[in-house]
Amino acid sequence: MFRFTRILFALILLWATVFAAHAAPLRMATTTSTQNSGLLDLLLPAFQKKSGIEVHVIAVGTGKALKMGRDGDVDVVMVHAESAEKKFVEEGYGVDRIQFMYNDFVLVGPKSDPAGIKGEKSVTDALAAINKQPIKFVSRGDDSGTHKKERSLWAAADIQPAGSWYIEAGQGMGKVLQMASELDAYTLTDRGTWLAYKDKLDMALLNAGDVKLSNPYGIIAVDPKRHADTNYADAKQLIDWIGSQEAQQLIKDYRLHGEPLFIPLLLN
Amino acid sequence: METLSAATYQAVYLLFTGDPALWTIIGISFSVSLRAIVYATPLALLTAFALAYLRFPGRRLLVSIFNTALSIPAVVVGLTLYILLSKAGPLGEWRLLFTQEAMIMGQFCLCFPLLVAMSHAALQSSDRRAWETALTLGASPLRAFLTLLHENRFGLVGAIVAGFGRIIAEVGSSMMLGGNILNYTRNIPTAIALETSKGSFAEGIALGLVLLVMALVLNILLGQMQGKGEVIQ
Amino acid sequence: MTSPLPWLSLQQLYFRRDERTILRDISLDFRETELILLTGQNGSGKTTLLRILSGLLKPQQARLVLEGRALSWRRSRPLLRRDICYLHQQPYLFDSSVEENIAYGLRRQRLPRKVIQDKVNQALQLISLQHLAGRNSRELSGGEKQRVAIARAWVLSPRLMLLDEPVASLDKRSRSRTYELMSELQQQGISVIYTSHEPQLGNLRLSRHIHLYQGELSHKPLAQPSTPDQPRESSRAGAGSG
Repeated sequence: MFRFTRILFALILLWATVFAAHAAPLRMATTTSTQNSGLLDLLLPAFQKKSGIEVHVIAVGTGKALKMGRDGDVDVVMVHAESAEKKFVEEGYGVDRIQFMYNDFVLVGPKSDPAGIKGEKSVTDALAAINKQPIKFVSRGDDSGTHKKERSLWAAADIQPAGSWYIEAGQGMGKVLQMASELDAYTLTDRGTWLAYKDKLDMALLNAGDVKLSNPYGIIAVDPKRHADTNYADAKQLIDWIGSQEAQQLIKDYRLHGEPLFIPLLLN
Repeated sequence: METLSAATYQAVYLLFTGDPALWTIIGISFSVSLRAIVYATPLALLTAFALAYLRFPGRRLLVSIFNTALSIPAVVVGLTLYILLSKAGPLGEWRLLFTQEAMIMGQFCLCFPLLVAMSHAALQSSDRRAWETALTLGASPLRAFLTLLHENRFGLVGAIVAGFGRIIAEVGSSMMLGGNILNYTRNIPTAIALETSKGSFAEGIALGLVLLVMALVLNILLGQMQGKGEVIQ
Repeated sequence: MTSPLPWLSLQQLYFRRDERTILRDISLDFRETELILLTGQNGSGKTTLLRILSGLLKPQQARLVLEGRALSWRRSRPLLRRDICYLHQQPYLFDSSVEENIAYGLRRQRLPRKVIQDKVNQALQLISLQHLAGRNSRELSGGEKQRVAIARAWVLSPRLMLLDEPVASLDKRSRSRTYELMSELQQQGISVIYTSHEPQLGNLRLSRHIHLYQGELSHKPLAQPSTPDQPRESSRAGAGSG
């Protein structure tokens, strides 16, 4: 009996050390929508193959991702919130920021399109049409990149969204899409999450293409001057590789449900 | 960098300045969980009584089922109800998904097994003479049941407090079924989850403090009550 | 004492539990104002018989004749509950005051507040515990609990009280008090059956002595009371009859 427990303990210890041996990878905070797009599952293994660096991805909201960078909890941040990124760099938390690709946001809603926004050229006109109808709009309400984009679009349309029609969900994109589908409501989503979820939803893509809906992605290394223990060298290597022609081509060729999702910004 | 102490200081400030957004969340939390516990308690007490005092086939099996149901994770309860209540689900026509009623249903399902199991334990070990004495003195079965509850109030209130503690702090099913909608279904745990994901820890800590203080107060009250009960016995 | 018609007659009663016959072909008549001693070894079925009579247990087979009418068990149960009161070997008192305990059964009858208070006061006088009226019953001694339980049943004016080992766990002083109370009950026209290990006790004027042996009932001859007249008992009897 004693011997058995000892062997068991030894095995557990061995198991723990084997897993601990994989320490010191590159830690990257990114947004849930980036993770959900599946692009990282293509890019990161390719990067690891080339450099031998393993990247641990922590997928959270944009705000939290930047905060983790600020606190030095991660080594590199990949987000899509232009002004917040600039502020992050200006305040001295990040270095080596590049914008390397973009995708776009789309307005989705009930297939019957009760607000009639299909074919509307301007996204602000589309939002105004939704506002005129007694129909619900689900907002992320979580201070994420998508939420910030949505708030800026309402501001551009000169509408102060409030009231029982405007549902502030405070959840991730996939969850918000499910809620909008259940509630027969409109919502703003990134194209990646939409493509990943659309088969499970009772909804249609109704409005896209306005230049205001474009969504550029940035990657920033955490400034080693602020947090000495961050893995800056590997972060720099990742950023350089993301900007390389090899990675940009991978981004261009990436397909989700048979459709292109991202447009590279640094491809020659 | 925002340190823990700074965030805590800001949290206390938010609480005591009566930040309306914060107090709305607290109000929703208590309203939903109190309704769930109020609906669940009578049914749970009757079930526990039947399991402890009546002999019927399948009784032992039922006791095992309720004890097992204690360890069902909240997200599983949430997921099951979500599927039932979804537009495509069998109860979709009720249109209850992402309402407070859906949250109450979820919390009901979560606290019910706990209430039954703990009340059953209390009644199982209770003095059977209480029930018999009430009957021989001419009490109706319902009145004898109420007398039995009163005689075992310490254990039973403990069960109810434990049940309330489980649902007031539960995030999985509330998030799935309520949807974390501002001013409607956003309660303390889902708000903490959201604030944490946004990186604004002060609000999260403030709400966590409310839960902590509540747990403390409930436990002190319970301890006092049980202390008094012990002296008498 | 003559033998008028029995008000309750129990015939051919059988009780089985888990394939074991606990009581076998019991027949028993009850007349007004009897004091019956029920003896038997542990496990002979004494408690079971009392619990059946009080309606707490259901026999597999029994014929009941109440006031000359044959009744099914179902229909007789509420009537038995009204007329018969069972006290546990160690009576259970509710976690409230002595007064509240005594009033419990009266409150179930939805009597006016005043009537209840009067009856409770009379009962407290009967058991001489007026000074403990407001005390929580959990603070009482064993003998006091016994008396409160008897008073709690007495206020309901039962025809028959079933006392299960009423003195088994009491000291000498409490025993004699309990015996006094039992003869007082008998004088007030309440029949009492009590079980005991000790064959015949105190100065009680037994009407009958019945004995259970392996589930079967037999009658035993009555012994004469050892000291027929004790001054303390007669004084109590005089005070209580008014």
